[in-house]
Order: sequence, then C-alpha cells, then structure tokens
Amino acid sequence: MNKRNYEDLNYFNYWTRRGFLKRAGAFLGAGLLQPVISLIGSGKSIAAAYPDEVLSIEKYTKGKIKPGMVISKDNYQLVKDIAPEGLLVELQRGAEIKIGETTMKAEATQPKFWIEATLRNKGQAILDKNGQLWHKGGGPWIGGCPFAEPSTALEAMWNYTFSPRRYDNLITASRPTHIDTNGTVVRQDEALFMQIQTVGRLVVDPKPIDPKYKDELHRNLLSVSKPFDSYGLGVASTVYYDGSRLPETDLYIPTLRRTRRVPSTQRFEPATPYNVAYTTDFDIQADPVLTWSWTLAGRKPMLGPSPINLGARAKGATKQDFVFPDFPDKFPRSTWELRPEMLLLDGVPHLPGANYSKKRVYYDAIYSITEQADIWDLPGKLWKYLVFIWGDTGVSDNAGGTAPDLTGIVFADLQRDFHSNVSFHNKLGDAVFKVNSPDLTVDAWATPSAMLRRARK
Amino acid sequence: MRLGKGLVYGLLVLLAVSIGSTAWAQFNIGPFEITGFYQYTVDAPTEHANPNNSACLSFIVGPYQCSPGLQKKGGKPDLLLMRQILDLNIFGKFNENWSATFEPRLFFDMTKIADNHFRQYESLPTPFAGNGWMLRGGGNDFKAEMWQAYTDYRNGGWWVRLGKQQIAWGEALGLRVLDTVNPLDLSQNLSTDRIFEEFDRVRIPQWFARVDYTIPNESIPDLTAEFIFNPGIVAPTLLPAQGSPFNVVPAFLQVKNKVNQGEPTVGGRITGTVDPVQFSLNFVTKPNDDGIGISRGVNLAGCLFPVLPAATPCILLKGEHPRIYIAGGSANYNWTWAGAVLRAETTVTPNAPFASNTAGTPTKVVDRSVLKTVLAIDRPTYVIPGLDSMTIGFQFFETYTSGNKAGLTDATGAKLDSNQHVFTVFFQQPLLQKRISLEFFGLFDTDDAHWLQPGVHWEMGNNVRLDLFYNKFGGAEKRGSRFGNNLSFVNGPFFRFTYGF
Repeated sequence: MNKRNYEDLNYFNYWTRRGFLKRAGAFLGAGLLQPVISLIGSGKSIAAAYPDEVLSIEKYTKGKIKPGMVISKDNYQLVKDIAPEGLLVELQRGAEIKIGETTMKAEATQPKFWIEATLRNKGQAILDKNGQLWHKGGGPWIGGCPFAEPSTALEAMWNYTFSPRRYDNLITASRPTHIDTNGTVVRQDEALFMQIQTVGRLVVDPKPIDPKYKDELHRNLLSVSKPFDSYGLGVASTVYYDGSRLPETDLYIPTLRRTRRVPSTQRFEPATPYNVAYTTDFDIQADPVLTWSWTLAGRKPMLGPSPINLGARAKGATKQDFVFPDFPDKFPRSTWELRPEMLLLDGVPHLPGANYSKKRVYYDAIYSITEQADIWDLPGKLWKYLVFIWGDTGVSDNAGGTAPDLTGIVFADLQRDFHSNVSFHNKLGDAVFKVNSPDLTVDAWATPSAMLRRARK
Repeated sequence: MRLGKGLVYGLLVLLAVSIGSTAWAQFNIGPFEITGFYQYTVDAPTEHANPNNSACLSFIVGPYQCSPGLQKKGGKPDLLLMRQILDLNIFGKFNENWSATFEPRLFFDMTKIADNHFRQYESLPTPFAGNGWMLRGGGNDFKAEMWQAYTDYRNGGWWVRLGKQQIAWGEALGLRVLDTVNPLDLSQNLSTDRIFEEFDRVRIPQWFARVDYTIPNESIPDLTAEFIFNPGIVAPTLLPAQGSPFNVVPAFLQVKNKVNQGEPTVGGRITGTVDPVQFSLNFVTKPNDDGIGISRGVNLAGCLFPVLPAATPCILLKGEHPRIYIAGGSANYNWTWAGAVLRAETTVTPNAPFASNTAGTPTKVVDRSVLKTVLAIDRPTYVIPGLDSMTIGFQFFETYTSGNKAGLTDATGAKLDSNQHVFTVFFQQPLLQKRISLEFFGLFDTDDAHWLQPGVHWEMGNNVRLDLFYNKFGGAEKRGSRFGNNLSFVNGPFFRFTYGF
C-alpha cells in the first residue's frame, strides 16, 4: 500500500470499490470484500465486507483518534476530513463529542423485519424515466429498501424517503427546545408525531398496500400540545406516491374550531416561531424526492452518530454523559463513530420559494438511512446542519424485535448560532411511543374528520 | 383618577403573573391537562362618543342627541374596554374512547371602574329567559362561566360529543355563512379582538348532541355524516348593554328579547373528499339568533320628556326569534399549479325573517329568501425578498335577498338591499423566525363601508404574547347591519397582553 494520509482516503480516490477488488481480489459483484447486504441479511457483522482500515477509526487515522477520545474545539482538526462541515462548525463553537467503536450491525438502527424485506424484495424495484419508483410488476413498491445496494443518489434517496421511519405506523412524542446563541432556552414546544405508511406495509394488515390509499406514500400527523396558544393544533399531511407531487395539508385550528385545508408551499420557512427547522427539513428531507435533483458527490468513511445515544431514553443519564442526554443544552453531548461507507448525496431544490442552494445528505450505506445533512444558502454559504440520531427505543416493534427509532434531532442554524434540539420520549403526557399498531390507521387519525374528533380543544 | 386605578389593578396582576412565570407549560392533574391563558386588554377610542348612548327621540322635537344620555358624563370616553380574562382549557383523556373537556372563564371588566364617563352597566348581559343554561354568574363587573363543557366518545368510525359546545362549519373566515349553528356574544366584542382568532371567544357554546359517523367506502375518502341536536336550550345573539361603550341599540329604544325555550335546533352535514375537492352539504333549522324588533308600543312619558332614557325609553320593541331553515354547502380545491386553495360556500335561507314597517313602526315579521355566497382564495406569496412568505387571503361575499323589500328592515332596523357585496383581504407577514407577525385585515362593502384592522402580533417565548391593533371603521354607509361609519365610535387602538401556560 502506498503511504498516504488518512485525510486522502475515500472511496473515489483510494478505497474505491474497484480498488477493493484489485487489492483484495475478493467479491466481484458489488466491489466490496463481500456484499454488505448478504452479511446484514444473515445477521452477521459487516466487518467481512470492509477492509479493517475503515472499520476502526484508530486504524483509519493512524492512531490519531481512538475510541474514548473527546473531540472539542481544542482538537476538532483531527476529524476535519471525516466530519460534515456543519459538525466542524459546531465543534469549534463548543460542541463536544466522544468517539466510539464502529457499530457492525445494521439492526442497531433498522428494524429486523425491514432488513429482511429489503433482502426478500431485492432486485424488484425499478425507476421510470422520470425517476419515479415502481415495483417491476407495475404497482407501488412493496416494502423494505427498494435498492439494496444503491448505485445512484436517487436510488439512495428512495431507500430512505420511501418510509423514513420504517414502520407501517408509528406514534411518538417529541419535545423541541429552541436555544439561542447564548445557550438560553427561548421556547419549548411539545408534539405528538405520527406516520402511517399506506404502501410497502410489512407487518400490519392490509399488506403490502392499503387499497384505499394506494396513491399515497404515507400520512403524517403532528398534534401540538405546547405552547399554550398552539395547544390542540393538528397538522395532517398526505404525502403522495408520486414523487413530484407536493403533499396535501389539512389543519385543525383550535381557534377556528374546524379543519382547514391549506396550501403546502410554505416549505422553506420556520415550521413554528423560533424554530430552525423548516418543513423541508423534517426527516432530513421531507420534500417529495423528485422535486429536488440528486447527484452522488462522494462515497467515503465518515463520522456518524452512534446508536448508543439514547437521548431521553437513557435512564439515569447526566448532563455530562455522551448519550444526547435530555437536558435543554445548546450542545447536548453525544457519541460518534466512524461509519465505513457514507454516500454524499447532493440535492438541489426546484420548488418555488426554495432558499437553499444545496443540501448535502450523508447516507449510511449500511443503515440505509441518512442521519446528517449540511445546507447552504442561495449565495453558497453554509447555513444549517441537521443531525437525526437513531437508537433502540426498547419498545416492541410488534414484529418480534425491539424498535429502533429517532432518539434525538439537532437543527442547527450555523449563521445565527441558534439551535432547535428535539428529544424523543417513550411516554410524554398521554402520548405513548408505539409502532406497527393495528390501532394507528389513517381513518382513525389522519383525516380531517379524525382530527376534529380527536381535538383537545 | 379612575383610569390610574384600573391600570394599577392590571399591573398588579401582570406582576403576579410574571413572578409566577417559572413554569413552561400546562399542569397535569390525574388524567387532566390544564392549559390556558390570562389576558389583559385595553381598548381606547380615538374619535367620538358612542352616539347610540345619547340617541334620544321626542315626539315634540324629533330625534336629537341628549348628551350625556346613558353615559354618566358626556363626550368621548377614555376607554372602550379594560378587561382581564382567565381562560382555562381542561382536557381529560380517560382511555382511547372517552375524554372530557371543560373551559371555565373568569372575566373582570374594569372599564367603568377606570373611566368615569360611564354609569354602572352589566358587562356581560344575558337578558333572556333560560339564560341559566349559560352557566354564567357574577356581578356587573366580574363574571365566572363554564364556557364549554362536553364529553367525547370515539369508537371506530363513531364520534359522539355531548354537552355545551361550539360547532363551527364552513370555509369562510370572519363572515358567517355556514358557521351559524351557534349565536354570538357581542357584549364586549364588536372589534376588539384579533380578527385572525375569528369567533372563538364569542361563538356561544350551546347544549348539543353531536354525532358523527365516518362511512366506510372505497370511493369517497373520509365520507362522514354528522347529526346535531339541541333539545331547545336557546340562546340568542347577545348585544352590549345600553349605556356600555359598545352599545348598538339607540337610547330611545328598549328591546325585550322573546326567546322561547324548548325550540330545538336540529341539523346535519355530509363531508368528504372527491380528490381534489373537499366538500360539505349542510342543513340546520333553529330559532333565528338575532331578535327581529316588533313594536310593543311607546312609553309616552319617555317620548315627551326624554330626560333619562335609561329609565324611560320612548319606543318599546320585543325581539322575535322565528324558526329558520338553512341549507347549503361548501367546497375547497387545492389548486396546486397556483399554490393556492380555492374555497366556495353558499347557503339559502328560504324564510329569513325581517320586520315589516308601517309608518316607520315595525309591526310584524315577514319572510324572505336569502342567498349567501362566499368565494375565497388563500395563497402564500413571497412578497418581500429574504422574508418568509406572506399569507394572503381574499374573500368575496354576496348576500341576495329576494322578493319585495319595501318597508322591510333587518334585525338592526336597517333597510334592505337586494344585493350586498363585501370583499375582505387578509395579509400576514411573519418576521424574525415567525416571532412577529404584521397583520392586516380589510373589509370593504361596495356600498361604501369599510373596516380596517392593521396590527402586530408578537410571540415572546412560550408564555407571553403581545398584540397591538387598530380598528378603523368608515365610509358613507351608516346602516347598522354594515361595517361602516355606524361603528366609527369604536375606532382606536387596542392592546393585549397574554400570559399562557
């Protein structure tokens, strides 16, 4: 091997899949030592698929970074070639992260039934000339990631956005905290969020498609309980299967005492007062896939949040613990690890009113999800950094396992140095986290009449 | 000075609230979530005294201004309203099927304490038989009431809500076409609330059984049938007391509301979606909210010597509330190409009541058909580069009254036109991450009447909200049923401080 600094290592100029082939002479098909997906499917460690150098941050950095080290403004330069630009800004401003070992199992952030469906349905997904996802039989996709080994940015985005939370349905309680540049909490919201998949259903009948809503991808419901003047506000979004069609939005507005359909074009402005998050930012990428154009800008090992960051679910955690603890801090401490294969997906929006010039989404090829994104404003200056952290909730997934899901989110406005940090809870008020539940149906929750009958005010 | 005394009361409450403002959020007691707000409102007139409080009529000299009339002191008052409200929302969820909601409110009207232009008056009058069902009690200044109290039962496609509740229908905002199930309490609210909040504070909750059933089917998503029934606990439109700042009944009149309890309100609607249109078909029959004033004679002493109109009004009327039937529907269409939602709403009332006048005296109630229609469009638009989009709403409203209208007057005593056309516009420009909203509401009647309400709404963190608005009514049109110069006495700014929890 040539002697090169680890900063230069990436899949395109060094650890290319072709390079793997040449060096290892191993698996011919996918270009890795072995196809990752088959290892994941058989419940094995992904270690056999990658060279040792990208499975150990210590080896990858020639010993400069070791598990257990804390990265802060004093030594952030150590990670400057394996961290998103936004993370580097956060570190320089006071964020502290601890380095952990690389997690070798995809099940750490993905439910097992989803991984099994990905394997079972491998090779059955196609994209039409417009980039729209279909099952090769002509209907909607039937579940699991459509592209087990994505080769383009669009395939990777479909893998994630088809069902961002992976479950047939999910209800979760969250508490967004908005923190100014001085670290002062300026507002705290509270909301129940629900996502009900209408196609690609794997656990709860009807499967794989709810025929009544076959033209949709999923319905989302946000029911706000704080602050007081938003109490009872309901927002139901119908996300269409057609990746070029904007969602429909219905509101239940307590002061109007009725539901109201509203345009869904206000996607690039704060979702609520003080909020760093825009509608487009939810789930890292909430706009329909085909309303943006996507290119694969790179493929390399990079830092990603560890699944040991359990957030509010980390029992007994203190403010000092690196688990994204549930304290209203500007920079909650968290643990990060080297992810062996990160796809850098550059997206450009084509929606009216878009004030982003580019979003770089970091797609973890092992988890098949995105947990980070950098966002640039129209003049091309870095604007926002998003982190979506996944971990085990400890709650049954009603499919034989426990349910990994979001444990925390950071929406950072880097230009204003303002944060909206979101904690997730298994129980908050009367909202209880659950997934794949027969009770969580579109008709019972996510229609105008359902919002009306569930109104708290 | 009394104004200073009132301000001191208000400031003391503000101080108490801010001292106790460490909690971010609502309280939880057992299965109940308690949230709510305290609000302090000051509304000051800038133009002139309310002419209705000094409108006298003498058989000798005719109509004239008898200042101070119903006021204690003549001239423009210092205040229209100085009020404190505590409004709680208590929601209890017992299980997935059952929940209950209570909304108690406490009012303290300090207007007449702070402004010595006024005599004592009832701040929240309920001058009708059966008013006990409003669950409202207290003195002239302080009132406590159970504004809403209902229980919900949900099971599958069924939903039943029983109790004292608001029921709001339709697409139009601020203009009541389909939203006519409940009457309005206008005692303190002719213009002094943010129009964006519509009728929430004034739509009088009534005792209803509301039963909804979502009908399973494959072709019309969310197809839902609703049935509403009030067994006859009737409340009419509530007007400000005579002599109060917002009084709309001339001093020489005395109207006695004749509200017959036991007359049920029955109605229903069908709602659903036929992509891309959401629709509703509605029907309701009920006693008319507004009293149609019919003469019950004159008070001769009051007409000859109108020295003290409060005690001796000249003309006596009884407010009739005949049964009406309203049928209508609404639809909206998501015009994705334009990024807009189009709305339409219409009703026909075949027997809308009016007063028939003989020699200027309303003698009997007659029916006419009235057709109301609203067309509206909402479109967020990026108006100012670099800012969030501006919410823009536009509504066109037409009222058509059929048949012979000679000698007919409406509930306000105003003569009728065949057609009335009104346009409304609403703009809301958020600033500073939506912490501040610049708002403008404009209502324009083509008969030359207008109501303008510019203002600022400021959200400060979780708990504090500040509002500063200004009302401006004007134009040549002076009929009581219009939003014109007849209401110019309420022109002026209003300020609201709200602390929520």
